Order: sequence, then C-alpha cells, then structure tokens
Amino acid sequence: MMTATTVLSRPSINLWGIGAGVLAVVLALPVLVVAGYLFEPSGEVWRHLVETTLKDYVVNSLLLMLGVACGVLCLGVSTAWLTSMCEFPGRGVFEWALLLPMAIPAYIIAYTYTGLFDFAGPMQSWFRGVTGLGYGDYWFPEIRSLGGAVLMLTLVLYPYVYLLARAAFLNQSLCVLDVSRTLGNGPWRSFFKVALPMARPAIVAGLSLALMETLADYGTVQYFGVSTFTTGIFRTWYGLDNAAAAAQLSAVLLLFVFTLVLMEKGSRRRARYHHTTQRHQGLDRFRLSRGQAWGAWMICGGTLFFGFLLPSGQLLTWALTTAEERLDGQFLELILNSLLLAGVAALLALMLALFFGYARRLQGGWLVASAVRIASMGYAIPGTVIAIGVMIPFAALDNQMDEWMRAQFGWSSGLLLSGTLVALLFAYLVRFLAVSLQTVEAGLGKIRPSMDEVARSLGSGPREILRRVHVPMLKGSLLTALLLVFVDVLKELPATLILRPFNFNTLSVRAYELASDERLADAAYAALSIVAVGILPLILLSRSITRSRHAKST
Amino acid sequence: MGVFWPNQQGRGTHVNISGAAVIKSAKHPEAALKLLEFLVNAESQAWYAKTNGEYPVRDDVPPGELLASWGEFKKDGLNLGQLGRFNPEAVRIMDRAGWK
Repeated sequence: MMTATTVLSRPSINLWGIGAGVLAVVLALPVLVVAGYLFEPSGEVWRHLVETTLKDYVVNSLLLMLGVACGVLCLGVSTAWLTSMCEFPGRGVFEWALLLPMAIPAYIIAYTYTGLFDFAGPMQSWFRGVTGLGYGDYWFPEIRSLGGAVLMLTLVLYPYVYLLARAAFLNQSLCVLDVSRTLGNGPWRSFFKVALPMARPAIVAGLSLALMETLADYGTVQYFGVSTFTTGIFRTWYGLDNAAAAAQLSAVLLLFVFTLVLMEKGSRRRARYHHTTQRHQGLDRFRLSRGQAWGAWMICGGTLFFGFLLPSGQLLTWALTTAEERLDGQFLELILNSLLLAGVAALLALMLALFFGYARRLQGGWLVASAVRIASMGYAIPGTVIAIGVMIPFAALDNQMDEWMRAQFGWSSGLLLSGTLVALLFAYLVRFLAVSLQTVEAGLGKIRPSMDEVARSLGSGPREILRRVHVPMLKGSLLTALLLVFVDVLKELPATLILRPFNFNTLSVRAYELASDERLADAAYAALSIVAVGILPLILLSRSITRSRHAKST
Repeated sequence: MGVFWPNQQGRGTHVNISGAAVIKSAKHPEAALKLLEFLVNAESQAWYAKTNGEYPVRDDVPPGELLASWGEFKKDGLNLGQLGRFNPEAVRIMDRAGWK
C-alpha cells in the first residue's frame, strides 16, 4: 500500500507543477509582447508625457481607486452583513437583488446617469422648472467628473465585495459567533471583533477584484473626460501613434496591478483561516428593532435603487421607445453569439482556475506560486492592450503557417487563430482568469489541509481528492467563479471589438456602436439585454449559496 | 439657438467626411471600384442627401432641404489625407494646452 501511494502521487505532482508553469507562460504571452515594446526607444514621446499629462494619469487613477475602494467596502460589507446576519422585512429579496448591479456595465450606467442628471436631463430640467432658475444660476453636482466616475464604478462594482463577503459570513461556523455572543458581545462587537476579521480574506479578494476593474475601466472615464492610465494608453497609441510609449504606460499600470495582487496575498499570508467544524446550525439572525430595520432597509434599498432600479428603469424607458425597430432576427443572433462566447470562456476559465489553484495547494513552491501570480495579472490590464498583445503574435503565427501551407500544398490556410474566435477566447482567458482563480483559491483556502491529509492517508491520489473531496465541497465557489466570468465576458467591450471575427457581433459591441453615435436610446436595447441575460445566472448563484448553507445545516 | 459657421474670415469651416477606400490587398479591386463609383454617382448621392442628411460630395447634387436652409458657407480646403500625418502633433499641442 505504502509504495503504491508514493508511486501514484510523485509523477502527478510534478505534472501539476510543470503544467502550471507552461500554461502561465502561454497566458503571459500578450503581456510579454506588450512589455517587449519597453525596449523600443521612445524617449522623446515619454518626455512629452512626463511634461504634460502623466501627472494627471497617476493622480486621477489613484484618486479613482481610493474613492472606489471606500465606496465598495462601505456598500459591499454593510449590505453583506445585513442580508446574511440580520432579520428585517425584505431581507430575502435584497439577498439576491443586491447582486443585480453587477449585470450593468460601468459605461452603460455612466450613459444613463448622464442622460438623467446632465443639464438637459429630466432632473435639472425639473429643478429649473420648479425654481425658475436658468443656466449658471444654480449649482448642481457635475456627473461627468472624477467624483461621478467613482460613483458609477462603485455602484456596479460593490457586488464583488458583497458576494464574497456574504459567502464568507454564511460559511463562518456559527459556533464562533455563538461563542462571541455567550461571552457578552453584542451584534456590533461580534461583527467588528469576530466576523469581520474572519471574513477579511474574502473581503480583500472582492476589493482587489473591484479595484482591478477600476484600473481597467475605459468606457466610463473616457465618457466622463477623466484622464487615467487607460485613456492615456488609448490616446498615446491612437493619438500620438506611438505603440512603444503606450506600452510603457501599460507597464506603469502593471506596477499598480502588481501592488494590488501583493496587497491581497499579503493580507492572506499573515494568517490562515480554517473553521474548526463544518457542522452548522440553522442561522439565528439578529432581530432588528423597528428603527434599526428601517436603517437596514434604507441602506440596502438605496444601494439597489441607485445601482440598478434607476439606471435599468431609464434603459427600459429608452428601449420601449425603440423596441419596434430594434427587434429582429439580427437581434437573436446577437444574443446567441454573446451566450456562446461567455459560456465557453467561463467554462475554460474555471477549468484553468481549478488546475492552477490545485497545483498551488499540492506544491507550494515558488514556481507554481509565481505561475499563479502571472496567470492572474491579466485582469487589470485594459482589454485593448491584451487584444493587441494577442493580435501581434497570433497574426505572425497565422502568416507563417499560411506561407508554409502555400509553399507546401499551394493552399492558403487563412487566419486560423487571429481571424477566428480562438484569439478572442484566448484574450478572455488572459483577461478574466483572475476572477475564477481568486474565487477558487479563496474557496480552497477554507478547506482544512487535514482533509487532504486524511484522504491521502486513505490512499487517494491528488486527482481523486480533487474530484471526490474538494470539488463537492467547493461547489458554491465553483459556481461563483463560473458566473462571475460569464457576466464579465458578456460585458467585455474593447477586446471583443478588436478581436471578433468579421461579421461576428455581440450585444456589447452593438450597444457600444450605437452609444458612440450618441444614439443612447437605440443602444439601450442591446444594453438592457446584457443586463437581462446577466441577471438570471446571478439569481441562480445567490440561490445556490443560500442552499449550500441550508444543506450543511440539516 | 442658431447655426454658427466658425472661421468664415479665415481658412473656412473644417469639414469631416464619410469616406471609403480600397485596400492594397483587396481580392476584387475592380468590383470594389465599381461599388465606389456607384456610391458617388449623382443618384446615390441624392439618396444620401435625402436619407441621412449629409452634404453630398458632388457639387452638382443639392443638399437636403434642412441643410440647404442653413445657406452657403466657406469650407476649409484642407487635404484630408493630411489628417493622419499631423494627428500626433495635434495631440501634443492639445496636451501642452491642457485640452482633454
């Protein structure tokens, strides 16, 4: 028996390590290609950037991150705690409804808020009508500003924190909270002293996801005229026509990302959190007094209203006015294309994430650790930069292959990689693997190593443990990972725009095309579809999290 | 509210275009050329003027009713082929001037 186990396990462990290394290099290819431009001389343009706009890029990006961090932490953690641990009217609805803003792309919510709150919008027109004031007579918060961008991004990104914090709160062994209560801690003290510190890895994971999205956002800041790194990269690449300087800006942006990743890992490194029991009793939520319940309702209701009801209501109004001319066979094709892309990408990302996460659990060495880190870098890199990093090597490969085929067989193979969905799916994986990976890793981290050890001592190999022990225990996390990527791909714009095959349109591309023609009302239709498609999996997701909690408690 | 034509005393109002071109590696250049010729013939241009409200590229085709009501104006004669060439420099000037 002993020899059998050793023989079974050794080679597969090495395979995990080598596989992770090779895959990470492939996934890092676009970034490496872009980084390769660092060595192109571009001193003069760089000097121009330093003299003029670089300071704006740095300051605005930092302020944007700071603002969004504060926003998503406040909204995400408070709503997660209220819906998972407190009892108040409407809680059951908020539980899933608070995920809804996630289905709205940041640039779409920016369009709708601009439509609502700018000078000619209904809010200011109403205000002028009531007060009789004219242009310049009164002060009204400018939605197209840095503060506006912070607000937009916060409203659609807080669900990352909400989702992960809520899963953490629900998964916390209630015994710990019960102990805290018997020791005389009230709800507030239990929250700050016990629940919050224990949920910290999950909260920081959610925060870093939201901040990576913030750094990669292009649509919102571009529309609001806020100069950040992403708009700077676009401007340098397409405006100044200098790929080298744009790549150098991207490299500085990468430093920001790297800092975030380190911050997230650092927050987890100091302590490991394992719950001492998997036995949970039925949730005994805190009963709120009338005043408290009102406050809880206002926090959750306000978040839901401004993050989802208001913008989607505006979209719906716009869509209804254009429905007749927009509903046709083309539209069905758009939906099918989008579902296909998002589904395949999410599944591939999940498989890769499980592989990386598990390789890391099996083999804690520097090779796997850095492979995992490299594989999750893509998330904060703007889609455009990834798209170009994918396009350059794939096109070169395609051309070589084509040349060879023509020379050998007199037959042209065309653009096998860069002209098909392969390039696009690859770009999605590079971009969104981090979403899957962080969720899977956070889930794996909650499973005590002693589980592995027990299974190993009973004679199971690593693959069998993964299949029979970890995957069933991780079901909630795996579903979360799958759906997060699904919705992200559905919303993704710049990479899709650049890499989609000819005559292949998706909902996001169509929404963008119409919106950039200032046809906001026409764009609403495709935008609303993205929201609608994105909503269904979110509901399922929320249900499954609650159900896995119930299953454990019985 | 009214229509304002900038730069009438100077070089004239800048005009942007909806353009079409044939790429060097096109598989059917003759067919592409025929399409372009079709797009700029008098009948097609009259259709464009009526349907999407753009100024026709041909002088012998009158603009749509609304545009015609705005009257004549002095157009900038800049060769649009130069736009791409001078764009980076223009962006630098904007950067230095703090335009966003």
